[in-house]
Amino acid sequence: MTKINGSDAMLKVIYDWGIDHIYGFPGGSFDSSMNAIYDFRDKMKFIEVRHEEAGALAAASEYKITGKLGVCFGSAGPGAAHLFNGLYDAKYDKTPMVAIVANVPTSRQDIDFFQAFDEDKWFLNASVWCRQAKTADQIPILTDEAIRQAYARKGPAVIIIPKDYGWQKIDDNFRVNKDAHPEANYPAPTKTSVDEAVKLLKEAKNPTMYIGLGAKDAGDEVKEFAEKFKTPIMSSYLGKGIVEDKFPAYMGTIGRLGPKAAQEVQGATDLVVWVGNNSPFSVLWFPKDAKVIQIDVDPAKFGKRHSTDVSMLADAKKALRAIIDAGETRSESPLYKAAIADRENWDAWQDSFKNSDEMPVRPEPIWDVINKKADDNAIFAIDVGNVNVDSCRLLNLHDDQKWTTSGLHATMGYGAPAALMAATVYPDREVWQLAGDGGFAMMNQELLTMARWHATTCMF
Amino acid sequence: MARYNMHVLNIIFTNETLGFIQAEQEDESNQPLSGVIIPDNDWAKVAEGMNVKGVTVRTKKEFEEAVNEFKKMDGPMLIDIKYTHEMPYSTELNSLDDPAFVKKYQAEDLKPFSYFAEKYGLEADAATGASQHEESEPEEDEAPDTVSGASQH
Repeated sequence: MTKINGSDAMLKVIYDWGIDHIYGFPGGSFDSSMNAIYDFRDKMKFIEVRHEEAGALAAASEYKITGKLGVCFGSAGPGAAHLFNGLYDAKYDKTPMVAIVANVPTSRQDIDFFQAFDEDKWFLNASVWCRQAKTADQIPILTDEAIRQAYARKGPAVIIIPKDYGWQKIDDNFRVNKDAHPEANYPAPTKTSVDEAVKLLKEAKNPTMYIGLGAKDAGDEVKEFAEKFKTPIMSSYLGKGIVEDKFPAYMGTIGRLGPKAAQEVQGATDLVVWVGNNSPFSVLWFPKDAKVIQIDVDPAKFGKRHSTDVSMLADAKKALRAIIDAGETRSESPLYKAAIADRENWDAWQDSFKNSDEMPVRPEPIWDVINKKADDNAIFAIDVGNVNVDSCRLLNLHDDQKWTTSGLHATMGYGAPAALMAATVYPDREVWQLAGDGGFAMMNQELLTMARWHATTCMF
Repeated sequence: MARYNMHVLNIIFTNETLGFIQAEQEDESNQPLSGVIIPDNDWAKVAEGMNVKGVTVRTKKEFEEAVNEFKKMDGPMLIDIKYTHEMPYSTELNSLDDPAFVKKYQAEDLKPFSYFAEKYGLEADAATGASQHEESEPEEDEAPDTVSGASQH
């Protein structure tokens, strides 16, 4: 039997899952795994960040844009502690990722050794799955399991590798079954729920839609639904981009971040078609007596943020399609007409400042340039703060543009790590980091990483 | 060997404040500004010190020229925009009947929702539906408003 170092077996599993890069920062306890990273230098890019938090945030941001999980690592003690913020971002945004954490050699554990802590207990809360290898032979199995659990539980999985196990020779006989990993496949709605939804839609005076990330693959159906039933569309902040911003019935994000019309229209509806949306602030919105048709794939979400009249435990695309096919075309409601006009008034007001020469410069002239200059497939890595208000209202997303931010955890300092991720995953696309001076001050050291790795062909 | 291409345009909106928190302190809890001010920093110089091209801009034209420069080059660049210190329009307060609010946000051309509701025959109870939420109404008393949306951050 061919032998392989424990840490090399770990990277082999990661690579065989189709992951060709890893973010991290070395440390003494991670030497055996750094040796493996060197051994894999022809296969995997190593993005050497200047702070482990940046690596964790980069890994957290990856699935949000690509649908594939990212991997980061940190060494025992401070390197591990620095990962937490990225892990919580992934946990709160339901984002698969894997963090590899080094531990001191097994003979040094639990005796107050240098940089030795109870890491398996540290990471229990920050992860959806956390295990420490008990033998070197377990390393490839646990690595495979970490990836499986991260995808299945939609959150960060943590694997802890004692340094000595990373050097230990084990049998090289583990095989990854990546192709057995199924695509998500959610159910179609029941006929009863479709009939009930169609009935409510017919009876409503001023129906609307409220979409979140659960609708992200159903943009075409959302637009067709809005056109057939004349429903103004509102979204969570993370739902921005599911429908292009210029779509006339899209009012934008409700709440503090979004434009005026979305905030106003939500208060005047009597029926909300609520698709894959769990925005925590939505408890503050919509009339209490408005009826709700809720579409979600998670039973725990029904009626959580507003009373629900029709629960459709179903795929967003399939459920919207079923209602579109079964329902009768509606004419424009008073609310629909008011919403369209309200948005036009807001858009014209914003546009009126596009060439303002007010100093210091207003947002509108700057975002006008961003909208005109950014490539049709540009990626926007957006930090946290007032930049979310400006981007929500002024960034005109279209075509194959993508964007990401820190949603529920909403951590400042997200922009630079997410930009590193985007440049790594999409080397041929334009990447724009958009950050305020406050957020940028938290992770600006990652400019060093960008400068160092640009056009680098030899990593070591 | 792996090929890297960090063609990243880093745009920094320098408004010298933690604006999101400033707006909460001003609009929601009506408290004195506390801990939000950031001194102006020369981020372009910081970038140059980190081997990234850095540019400072103050106008639309300067910004546009800087973006054009980025488009022609390889590798990362930073543009520090010396940006307005004004806060974005508050959709939560949305007090277009208050002349001071209108003046503050230069909102003379914005029409209140009631205008559109009336124009298109939206029933009155629907048009004021938002106010069914007592928790989203601005509080009159002087106690900090700790239950509205913004303050829940």
